[in-house]
Amino acid sequence: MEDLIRVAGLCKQFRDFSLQNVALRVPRGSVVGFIGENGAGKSTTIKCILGLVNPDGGAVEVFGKPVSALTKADRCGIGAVLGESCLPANLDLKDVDSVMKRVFSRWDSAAFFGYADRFSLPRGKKIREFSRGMQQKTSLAVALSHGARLLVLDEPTSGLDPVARDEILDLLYDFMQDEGHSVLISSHILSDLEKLCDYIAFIHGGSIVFEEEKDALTEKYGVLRCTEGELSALDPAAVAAVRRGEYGVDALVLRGRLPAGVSPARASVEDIMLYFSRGEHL
Amino acid sequence: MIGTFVKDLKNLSGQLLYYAIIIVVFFGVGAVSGNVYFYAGLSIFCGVVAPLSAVSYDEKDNWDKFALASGVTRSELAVSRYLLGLSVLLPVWALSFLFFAIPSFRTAENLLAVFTFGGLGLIVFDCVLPLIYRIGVEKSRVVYMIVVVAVMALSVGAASLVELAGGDPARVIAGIILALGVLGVPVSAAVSCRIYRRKDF
Repeated sequence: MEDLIRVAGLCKQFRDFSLQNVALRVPRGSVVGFIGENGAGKSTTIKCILGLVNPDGGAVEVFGKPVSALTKADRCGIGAVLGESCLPANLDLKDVDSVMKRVFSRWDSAAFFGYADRFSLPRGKKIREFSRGMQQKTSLAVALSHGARLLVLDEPTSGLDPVARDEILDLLYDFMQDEGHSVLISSHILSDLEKLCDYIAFIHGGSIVFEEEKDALTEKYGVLRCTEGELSALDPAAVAAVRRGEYGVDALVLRGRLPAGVSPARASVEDIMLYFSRGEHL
Repeated sequence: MIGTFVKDLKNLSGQLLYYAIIIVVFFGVGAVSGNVYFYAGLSIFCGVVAPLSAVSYDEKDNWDKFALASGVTRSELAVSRYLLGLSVLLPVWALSFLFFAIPSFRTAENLLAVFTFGGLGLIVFDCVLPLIYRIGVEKSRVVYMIVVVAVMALSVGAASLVELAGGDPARVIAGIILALGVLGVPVSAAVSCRIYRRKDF
């Protein structure tokens, strides 16, 4: 399957943080959820993909081309929503439309105002008077109004109430009706990602821990509540990480390596992330 | 680049009225007092303040990140503020020539003063824009004042030297300053593009 984004061996060194050998794929027609703690490297990776940060090493390709070789027309095929609103706060929607038609070669004013109406965004108000949710919706409306086939979204739903988040997720479902479209989305709201994503990529301390199909991930792992004795009886290769508590041990286990008769509970994406981040590795 | 330029104009539209008032007041005071320097010095202020305000808004709005992610190149982004600065500085400076509609202003000294201040405006503009890109708006405001004072002091010093050498200081200095200002624009833009190429957003 063609990859709309392919990152391999990405390295970037900052004074107090580094990305090390990051590898990531966003296949055509798929939604990839990008998860990790604050400061794990999600935004830096996304900025490298969008060409905002110059990598120290590795390859970052979008639409099969190095990011630095993307043409304006290629760029027009990428819709980006960065964590904070990046639209000029002094402008109203009419002004935004008038600016964007000079930024994007395939800008569609009718689509933009269609999304604005769908989100009930007031046309007469300036962006700075919008609530955070409205600003995020405006950013998304812009990202969807210039013929993008790839959306790169960095925390598009952070700080939004459940209703606003649900509206945005609906919009992303609609976008994914076209099989040629793909989305890379980072979020701390893992329940949203579980609903939406085909793949989950987890980054921790600047390195990718895994990138797997979401369903395969939840089938692969389970959470086992047991005693220390039961844990030590398991094959160590079956235990991905352990969290010890007052009343026993919780372990993230690989279902395929467990002995017959041991049945762990379902592990959510959030469980898997927490065990990999905070659990003890045997 | 045009998108960013249009965005800047819309962003600054609220300030345009204030600029217009300042221009009218300075022009009026200059005309009444018979002093062309009073208005001509305004171009030094206007050429830098417009891009300084535009970049200040952009820093607050994270516009650069959005623009770069949307296909605006780093060079276009850097050069668009030159376009904005020049589109304010040059008309403000050009208005200085309106003084020559008044017969009492038609002297060689006044003409050279207008050329000198145009050149000074360009030199300050050439120096400050790369600094804005390199160190940000806040620190650049202080440097801007220092650059203005330094350029004025250098001009006075250079005029004294020319006078000592027996030349026509006003004519020589006006020529040198204007030439430096004009030739400095592409150099300054090249430096700014280089800064932007290496910058992480």
